[in-house]
Amino acid sequence: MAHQRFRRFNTGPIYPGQQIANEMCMAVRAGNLIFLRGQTGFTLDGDFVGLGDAAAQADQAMRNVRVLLEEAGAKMEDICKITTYITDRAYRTAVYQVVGRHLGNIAPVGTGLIVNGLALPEMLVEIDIEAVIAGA
Amino acid sequence: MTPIFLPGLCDPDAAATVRRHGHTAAAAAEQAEAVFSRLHDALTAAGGAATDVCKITMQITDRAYRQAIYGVLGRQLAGVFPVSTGLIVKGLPDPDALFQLDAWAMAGGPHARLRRYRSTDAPYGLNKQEFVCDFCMVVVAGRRIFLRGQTGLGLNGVMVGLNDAGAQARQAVDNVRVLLAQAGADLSHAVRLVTYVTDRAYLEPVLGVVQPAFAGTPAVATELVVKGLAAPEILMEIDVHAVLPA
Repeated sequence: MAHQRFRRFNTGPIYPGQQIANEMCMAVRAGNLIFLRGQTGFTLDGDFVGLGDAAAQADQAMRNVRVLLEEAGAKMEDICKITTYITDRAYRTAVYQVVGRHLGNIAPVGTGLIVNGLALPEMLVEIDIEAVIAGA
Repeated sequence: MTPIFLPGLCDPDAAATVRRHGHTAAAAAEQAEAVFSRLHDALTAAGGAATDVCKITMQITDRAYRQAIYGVLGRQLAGVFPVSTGLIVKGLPDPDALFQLDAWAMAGGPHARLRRYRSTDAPYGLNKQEFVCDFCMVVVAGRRIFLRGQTGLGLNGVMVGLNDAGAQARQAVDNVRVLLAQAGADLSHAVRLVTYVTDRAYLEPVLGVVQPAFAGTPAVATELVVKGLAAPEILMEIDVHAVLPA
């Protein structure tokens, strides 16, 4: 069976004024494997929340993660690995507190990286999720 | 075939190495020994082995440590032939950590490893580098296909697109097509794309080349601006992960 690709969208509105307008998607399900687009302060409707507030952006990102996993037939408990990118070490405590609140006792493995930047300057945090649907 | 998920691994006692050696290659090498020791322990605890390792992403805080850390990698994973992506990053969660290893493993190794090479025989960008590591370009583990991070370095070893991130991206995409084909796949099987650039200004020319290659069967994507890649002349890199259909 071909992979299922959820919420196809065009990247054009994300990069206004730039020659980047391509079709990408928010989630791919390949059998029992789930891959999510890196989630940020952008809502799934395309609004950006938490300008200058890394914790608020992380909260939005994790809300998106829940929705996307459920749409793909998975749930938060299926998260195996979370990678958290932040653009400044100063955001770490606040971001990890928010992410931890969303994860509860799921206990995935995690990787943290401090990067020079994300896709847009206003993005202060991005979260990558890998999940496997249990028992599928 | 069961994936073994591993956390980003740092030396839990990174502060001690920095106290002894400062922020130096010697401290980085000590940390690398601890990291690979943790990798072996984590794999064993999960019922796996080093031969299960498919892909590694090396995250180093200063290019000056690269030689020392890769020397440790070469010894610690001798004979494994993983695919590799090498990043120079702004920072790691522990301020004393100079190196972090992200590894993806699949139980049931050693897995199919295509286009094996020894690092001393292959250029990174324009030049060869001194450390000795056994790598490969493609690992096929069950249905999953892991590729080496692809850049403007052609599969023939020639670096194209000096100072031209878009041209490097075209070469990288061409490489991905060839490598996926060797694994019996194509871009329609891609599930995830990570694009690294060394300057935000390169995002537009690079994404303008890379994203259209996935048209029709879009993948999920993450874009990262990093401090550096394997060599200064390498301006972009793409990590493509693919899964063959059941």
